[in-house]
Amino acid sequence: MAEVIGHFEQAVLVALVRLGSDAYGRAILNEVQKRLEREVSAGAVYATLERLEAKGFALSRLAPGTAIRGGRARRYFVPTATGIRALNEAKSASDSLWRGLAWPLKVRT
Amino acid sequence: MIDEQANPPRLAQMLLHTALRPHDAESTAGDLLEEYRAVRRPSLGRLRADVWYVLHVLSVAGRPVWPFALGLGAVKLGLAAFMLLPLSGWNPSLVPAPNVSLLDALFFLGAGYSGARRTGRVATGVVNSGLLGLIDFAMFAAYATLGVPTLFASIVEKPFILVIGSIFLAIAASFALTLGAVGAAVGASRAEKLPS
Repeated sequence: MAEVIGHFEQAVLVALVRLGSDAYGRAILNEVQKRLEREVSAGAVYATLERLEAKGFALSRLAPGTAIRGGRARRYFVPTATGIRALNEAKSASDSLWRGLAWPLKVRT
Repeated sequence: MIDEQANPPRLAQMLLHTALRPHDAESTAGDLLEEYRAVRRPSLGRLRADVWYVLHVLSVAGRPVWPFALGLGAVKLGLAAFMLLPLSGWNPSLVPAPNVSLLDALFFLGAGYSGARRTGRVATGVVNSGLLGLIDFAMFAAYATLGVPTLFASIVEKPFILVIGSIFLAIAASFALTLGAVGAAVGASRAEKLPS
């Protein structure tokens, strides 16, 4: 069983999967904000990326920057096999939690 | 219109560079600069784009400081709840000013140590403890305002309160930076092995 990942870690890891080969810091930040439908701080995303790397859920590599970045390198991230397994388990656990319930839940007054 | 020469506030750029590990500095600074130039500056204008940039820099630079700020705040609240603050027997202070106590010193040393250990740079530790000092002083101001709700309103009538407050802030900031530098010097000598 892979290590349990938190909600925000899932959001970032799913963003890596969605973005594929375009998953670098700025794109990940925008993707997470779009999916969570709220403003997310850069600090939260970078700290999570650092944690995901430390846990072995993601890998990164540097690539050359562009003029608009002042030539600064981009760091691209990819999920590892362990990261994908952890995501699958998180999704499976969530699905299992909801199985058998009609969605959306009705409010009882 | 995208302006590829537009630059965010220089001080914020310096803060970002100081706070980050060398491993991350270039890519993170590049990401924020790219978003600033490509999206925020054209859509928000200079002032609001600068505010956006500074807030995100603070979110990056301030993240390692929050555990210390929360810890310090929790300990002080706990002590205040038991009416021990500002008793000085266990928490001696060299001068009769706020945030210059043994308890504060321990947290400033810790913030300086952890910041420098993380990046291998003394400057990161000093920035960490400086930010912690500011948060600590804000907590003191909030605590003082709770005790004397008319404190800020009375500044207009008695501007000398502002002078005293500024002196307290200068003492507290110097204390935080000095202790942070000591912690950072130790932390930098024991820096984590950084990825390339």
